Amino acid sequence: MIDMKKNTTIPIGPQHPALIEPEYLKVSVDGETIVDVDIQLGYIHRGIERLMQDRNYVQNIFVAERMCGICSGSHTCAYSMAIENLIGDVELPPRAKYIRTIILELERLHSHLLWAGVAGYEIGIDTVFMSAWKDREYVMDLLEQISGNRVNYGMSTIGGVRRDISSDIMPQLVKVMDVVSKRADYYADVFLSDKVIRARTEGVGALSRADAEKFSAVGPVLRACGFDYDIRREGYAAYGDVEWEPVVAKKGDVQAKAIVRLGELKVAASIIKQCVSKMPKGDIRVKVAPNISENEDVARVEAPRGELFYYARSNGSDMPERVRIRTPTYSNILTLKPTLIGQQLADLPIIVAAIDPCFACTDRVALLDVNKGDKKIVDGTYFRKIERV
Amino acid sequence: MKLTIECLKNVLKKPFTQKYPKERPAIPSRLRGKHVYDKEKCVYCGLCARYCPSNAISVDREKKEWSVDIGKCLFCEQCAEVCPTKCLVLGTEFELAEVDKGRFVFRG
Repeated sequence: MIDMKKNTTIPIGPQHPALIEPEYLKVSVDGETIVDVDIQLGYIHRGIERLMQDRNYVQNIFVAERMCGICSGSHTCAYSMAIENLIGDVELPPRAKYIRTIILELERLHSHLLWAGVAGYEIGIDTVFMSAWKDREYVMDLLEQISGNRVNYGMSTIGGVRRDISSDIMPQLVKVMDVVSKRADYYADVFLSDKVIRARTEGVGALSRADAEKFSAVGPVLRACGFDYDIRREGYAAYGDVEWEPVVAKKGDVQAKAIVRLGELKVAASIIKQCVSKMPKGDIRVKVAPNISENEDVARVEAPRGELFYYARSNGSDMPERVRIRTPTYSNILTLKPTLIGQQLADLPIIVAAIDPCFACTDRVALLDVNKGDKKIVDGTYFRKIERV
Repeated sequence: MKLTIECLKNVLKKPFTQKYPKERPAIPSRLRGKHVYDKEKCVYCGLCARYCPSNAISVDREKKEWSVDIGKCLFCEQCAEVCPTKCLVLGTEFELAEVDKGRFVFRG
C-alpha cells in the first residue's frame, strides 16, 4: 500500500495544457517518479446513448457520427452494421462494401497521421507535428472531395453508402496513397533513428503482455504488445476480399505503439489501392423498411484507435429501444495505470498521448457519491436491473 | 539529422497553408452548404422534418410554410435525400456566420 502522506499529489486536469480534452489524472509522485495514478473521467458526458432512444434509425446515423470528430466514419459504419444485423436479411451491394472500406482506411490514415503529429508535439519536436499534419491534409482533401466534408463524412447508411466515389477521383486516390506510404516510411525511419525521439520513446511507458490482456487493451495498444488481434480479420465491409496483415510490435512502449501506427499507414494505403483496382460496379445501397421488429444484435469495427463496439435493441417501432456504444479509449484508458507507475512525471504527456485517447467518446457513466466523494463499483447485473426499469 | 534536412527544405518552400479569406478555397462539388429550396415544387409532405436529426426543419401543411434553422442544422443532407420532389438541395454557400440568432431561420 502506498503511503499517500509521504508522496505529493499533483492534479493533472480537468483543464491542463498537456491534455487536449478534459479529464482528471490524480498523480502521486515521489520526487519525479510516478507512484500512483487515479483516473477520473466524466467531464464531457453528453448523453448520446439516451439521445438515440428519441430518434429514428435514420436520424441516429448522424447522432452516432458525432460521437467522435476523428473516427466519425467508423461510428456510422459500426452503427449501420449493428442495425443491418438487427434487420437480419440485408445484403449489401459489393460496391457499397468497397466504398465503406476506402472511407474507413482513409480515416485511419488521417487519424494516425494526426497521432504522429501529436506525439511529436508532446515530445517537443514541432517539425514532426507540422510535417505530419501537412501530409494529413492530402488525405483530408480526398475525403472532402469524396464526401463533401472534412469531418463527419455522412457516407455509411443503413443498407449501403450515401454517395458513390466517381471514377475521376480514383487516379488521385492512388497518387495520394503513393505519397502517404512514402511519408509513412520516412516517419517510421525518424521515430527509429532520431536520437531525441528515441530517448523520449524507447522503453518509456511500456505495457506488459500480461497487463494488456488483463486490462483488455484494444487496437494499436494491444498490437504493440505482441498480440495479433484485429477486428478487420472478421472480414466486414470488403476486408475479406483484400490482402493485408496487421502490424504487430513486441515491446509495448511508446516506440512500439508508434511503429504499429506508422506501419498501419502503409497497410491502409495498400488496402485502398487494392480496393480501387478491384472496385465492382453496381448499386451503392439497398432500401430498408423504417420499422424493425423486436431483436437485439451487436457490431464490431476496427476504428483507428481500436475495437469499436455497438449494441442495439429494437422493439418493433422506428426508434431503437437501446443503443450501447463501447469506444476503444474506454478499454485503453485502463492501461494508463500500469504504464504510468514508475515513470518520470515529464513523460506523462507522451504516455497518455500514446494510447491516442479520445475522452469525449469515452464518457458514459460515473457513479459518484457527492456527499462522501466515494466512487462506486458496480457489476453488469446492476446495469441490467436499472436498464430494464 | 533527417529532421534537420526536412526543416531546411521547408525554409525554402512557400507556406503550405491557404490565406483564407484573402485566398478563396477550392469548393468541392459535393459540399453540403446552405439549403436551396424551390417553393413551387414542394408538396409539404414533411418527410424532411421527420428525418432531420436535429429537428431544424419545420413544415406546416395548412399554411404552406417551410423553414429551416441553420443554427441547428447539421448539414447531413438527409432532408434532400428523402425529398420526394427534389425541391430541396444543399448548395455550396458555407459562410453562414451571423450576429443575430433570428437570422439563422431561413424561410422558403
